[in-house]
Amino acid sequence: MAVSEEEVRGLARLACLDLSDAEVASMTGHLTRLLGYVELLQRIDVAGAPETTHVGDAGLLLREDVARPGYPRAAMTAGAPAAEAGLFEVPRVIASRGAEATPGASDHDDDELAP
Amino acid sequence: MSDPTRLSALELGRLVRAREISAEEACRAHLARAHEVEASLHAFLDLPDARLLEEARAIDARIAAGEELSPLAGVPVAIKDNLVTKDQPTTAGSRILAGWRPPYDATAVARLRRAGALPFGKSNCDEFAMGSSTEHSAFGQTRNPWDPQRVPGGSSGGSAAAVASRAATLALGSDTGGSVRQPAALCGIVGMKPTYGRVSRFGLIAFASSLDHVSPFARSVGDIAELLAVIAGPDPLDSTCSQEPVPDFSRLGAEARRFRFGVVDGALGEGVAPDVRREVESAIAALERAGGERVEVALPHAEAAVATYYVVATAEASSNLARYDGVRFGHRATDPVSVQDMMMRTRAEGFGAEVKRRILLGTYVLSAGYHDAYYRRANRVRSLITGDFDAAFASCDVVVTPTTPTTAFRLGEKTSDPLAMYLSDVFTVPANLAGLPGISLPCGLGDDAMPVGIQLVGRRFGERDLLDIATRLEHEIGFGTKHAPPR
Repeated sequence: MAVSEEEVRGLARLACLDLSDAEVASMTGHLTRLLGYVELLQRIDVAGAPETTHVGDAGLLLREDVARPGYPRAAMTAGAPAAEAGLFEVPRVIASRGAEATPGASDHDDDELAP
Repeated sequence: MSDPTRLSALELGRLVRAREISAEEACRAHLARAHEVEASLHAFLDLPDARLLEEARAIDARIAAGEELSPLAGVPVAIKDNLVTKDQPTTAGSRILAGWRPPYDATAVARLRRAGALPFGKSNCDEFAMGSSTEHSAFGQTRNPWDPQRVPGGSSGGSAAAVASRAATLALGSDTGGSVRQPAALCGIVGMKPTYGRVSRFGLIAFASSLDHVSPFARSVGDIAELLAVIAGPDPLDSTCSQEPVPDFSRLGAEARRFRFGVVDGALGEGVAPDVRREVESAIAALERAGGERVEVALPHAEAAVATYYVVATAEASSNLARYDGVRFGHRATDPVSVQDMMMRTRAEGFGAEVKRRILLGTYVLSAGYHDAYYRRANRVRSLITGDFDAAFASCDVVVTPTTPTTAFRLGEKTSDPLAMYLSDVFTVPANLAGLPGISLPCGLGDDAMPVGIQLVGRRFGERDLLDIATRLEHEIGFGTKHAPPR
């Protein structure tokens, strides 16, 4: 299973990772080799085998629906790179048209690899 | 007075509770030892002397006030840096969390404090626990106390090196694919991964949530059982933490009994170094002397375990690590022009190569068009592997393999070949996929005078039985009475 550099750039956009050209080249080689190894899964007969969706027999456990105090807001924002008035501060989210045509920024292409 | 760093946890805790030695004295002795070996090993990312001594004095005050503390009173326990500690730096070995101080303690750490044990510094690890050598830490590699030119294993290599070198009596790590059992084997100590759900994961920085296990290290089975007893049990803060009652782990190996152990077909064959095979075969003979009957078992799908693991684990990691976006904690790229730019550059600057590699692989196996062929198929193979163990346990009480195919490899030997690194987990990943408890015990030395580990895997929530058999084997082998790291 050979992976192309273009595919790796597409994956990096989906994963929100800014990769250098050298990283793209190195990751392309590594991913090709790793996916080649993982190909052995295709040889396993999985007929009748359910997918593991949780580990063990218990399934999802629910606790009593009781209101409990949360952590103090100030403590939770104290470790943030930027916070103000109890809120996490981030740069502008909605870019002006044309100014921020960052690849992968669309809400609707998240599940697709670049062609 | 005997050197506190040479005592078992149970003995040290007994002396502290009896006020024959203070927790402060025990802390001072371990700080001195930790600083002595730190220059050559680099086991710790944070070791705040003043704060630890203050916490040790608080333990002494609790004892003086008549509080009944646990058998681990005053015992220093190194904490892997992917377990959050309140107001204390926690990086998980990553630059992206440099400078972050969590606002709360992980449940396992909180339980240690409640028990009167001393969480003792933050130990080095591969970034976000992704690695088998601790060479992928952003803050320098840890070295093996038996030979500083070799890796301590990983990802919990700092915890293993700390316990093996007597810088700490005990340690906590996390085991996602062998990250406690493998470094335990490579450093000549005991490491145990409990059943999935036995110990709360609350406050464990998530790598792969269905595979991550908070897991103890010790120099003996008795000590590890006590550490597990302190951290185990239901926790309303982790919905995957089981309600299963924690059994009594005392009187291990006390009653005469017979048991059956299953040697996995092929586990001592091709791919296992001859010296590892020799020592594990010798340990198997010791299991027979300890009252065990040998049976042969097969895990026919185990050959696919590493492939299954690297699909499931990277898929979960790509999702879990989405939270590192420069908004709520840790690093943020300077002067971002937009949120998207901030996230892309923050993650590029904050993550190391191995983490990026796994995020990309996980993104690939979850992406449209590949999801069924990789992720969903791997989860079906995962069920087959679990089924293999269920079948094996019909004829035996524990399943036996080497912990690792070789002794500790040299620094840099596998960093350029990720697949070679991943394959060093071949014997440990099946228990993570199946959620079963597994323990690694040191069983001998290889041709290079480096430790060899034997792994026993038990039934789900069968820790009592597993520890009981491990105690008998430990007694028969007597590794700790014969061997120790050279310095």
